[in-house]
Amino acid sequence: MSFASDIVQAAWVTGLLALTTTAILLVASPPLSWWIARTGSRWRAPVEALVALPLVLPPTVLGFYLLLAMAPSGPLGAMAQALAGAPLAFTFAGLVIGSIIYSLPFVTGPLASAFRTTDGHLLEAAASLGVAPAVRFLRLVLPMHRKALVAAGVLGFAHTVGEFGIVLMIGGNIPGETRVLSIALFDRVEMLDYAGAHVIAAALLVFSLVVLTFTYRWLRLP
Amino acid sequence: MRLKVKGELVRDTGFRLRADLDMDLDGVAALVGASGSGKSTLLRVVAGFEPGATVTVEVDGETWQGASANLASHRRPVGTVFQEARLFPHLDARGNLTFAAHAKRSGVRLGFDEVVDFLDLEPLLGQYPRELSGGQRQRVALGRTLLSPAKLWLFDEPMSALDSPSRREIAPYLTRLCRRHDVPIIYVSHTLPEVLTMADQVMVAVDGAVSRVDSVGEFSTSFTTPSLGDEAGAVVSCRFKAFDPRYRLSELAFGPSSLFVRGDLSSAGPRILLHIPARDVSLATTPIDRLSILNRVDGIVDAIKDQGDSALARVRCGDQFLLARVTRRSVDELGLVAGIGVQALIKSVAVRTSAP
Repeated sequence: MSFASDIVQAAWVTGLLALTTTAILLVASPPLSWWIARTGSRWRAPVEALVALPLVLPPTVLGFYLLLAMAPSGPLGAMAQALAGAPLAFTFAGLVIGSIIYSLPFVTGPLASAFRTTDGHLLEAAASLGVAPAVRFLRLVLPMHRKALVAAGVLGFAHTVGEFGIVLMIGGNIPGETRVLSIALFDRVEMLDYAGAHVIAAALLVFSLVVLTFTYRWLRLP
Repeated sequence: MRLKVKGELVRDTGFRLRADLDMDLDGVAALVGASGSGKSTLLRVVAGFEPGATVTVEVDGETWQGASANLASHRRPVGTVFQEARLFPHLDARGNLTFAAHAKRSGVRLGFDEVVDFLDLEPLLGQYPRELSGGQRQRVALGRTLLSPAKLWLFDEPMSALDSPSRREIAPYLTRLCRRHDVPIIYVSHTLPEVLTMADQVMVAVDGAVSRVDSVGEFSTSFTTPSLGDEAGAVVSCRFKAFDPRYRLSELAFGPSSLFVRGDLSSAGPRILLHIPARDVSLATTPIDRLSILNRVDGIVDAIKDQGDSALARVRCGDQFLLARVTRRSVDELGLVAGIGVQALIKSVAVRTSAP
């Protein structure tokens, strides 16, 4: 395979992975963040710690346990085998699961911080109008924090694009399926193809910088 | 609507609310009292924002709150207008007004056009809360609550940010709505004349204890009424007698005397309530004939209360009372004591905003 088509394919897999992961996180994360921001439960701290683990844990540790869980004999792998007739390890679906866990704190954290600033008086006003909690969340809380939502989504996306350790452990290196840009870059270095490595590295660097610049600028807009 | 609120609520701040209410709400019930006396807390309890088993809230026999029940605030058919507007910042005025379209509870729903029309919200519909003035925000907040399904309205100083002309216009509208749709109102206000002339019933909060008072007139002239200060004044009940188109004056029967009020009150109903501020009442011990003050009423001094620089005299006229603010020097020079006959000279009266 030519260098160009290899990169295009890896970029495609990377983009698809990041989009899928971000979409799932943007649905699952807001309720979790809301709970973390508002609950008085004693389970809040343990749950927060669990969500934040990928921030401090080496990705390879996470990847190792996920690999065990996704192997045909592991709980996740066995479940996937029974439900879909295919294992999870070394598949795109497995990669999505790993990315969700890995990028969860980058979406949940900023959202929870934003939700903590919600004016309780406005929630009371909405309740006084007869509007149920779920509708208050959808029609009041989420729109009021739409900037935080976009920022959290961008962070989750960019972070997924940049992941390496977990993909290395659970994804393998299957072109068109689990071979993402960061792995392709690693391969180029292994092959001592520094020119090729430069292209990928520079592209990832510029991408991250541009995305973050636009996000921070947009966040400052009125 | 029968409302029962009983029990005690202790806030983190140490504030203690004690309620012992059991009343048939009908029309406008005023809730008065000094700031910090528990008025807003009582409204919060009824609206469902102070859950807890120590207070029982019962409405028409249904327990909303108590030892074994706690109906969530959005399920209680209660519309609340808070002291602050609390508009949703991400929605324009129209979005705020129609927010209650997502409500599922039962209750009276008013028409959008009618409310917008009356509160004059048409020009504001496309504007966001940050673009509105304080008074405009309060009008939108009022409209938003009126457009939510409700069987009871709680108004916590809903017009504090409005100018007097708007107040005078909106207050009768609220009373009319309340009667037409049979939705009672509990109305908290610091502006005593406003609320007393609107009210059919009065509740009073003193140091966290909320209870009901029997008669508005008696309440307004009772010396134990809290924090009246310069606003002290009597609420009296009159009957319409005649309208004189030449001077545009209505003659009202007040006991055996007559009171003259500007404007045609012939359609104001059988019972007209007037608010007579104590500062606009002077007393004379000998009748004065030639005077520009039209309203002169004979009465007997019932009691005098010293209040710092001045004194407040309560004058019995038939079976009702007036209050007069006089100087302590006048008390001594005229020899005002309980039991002597006086003529009360009334400079101004405020007519009740809407007839029952």
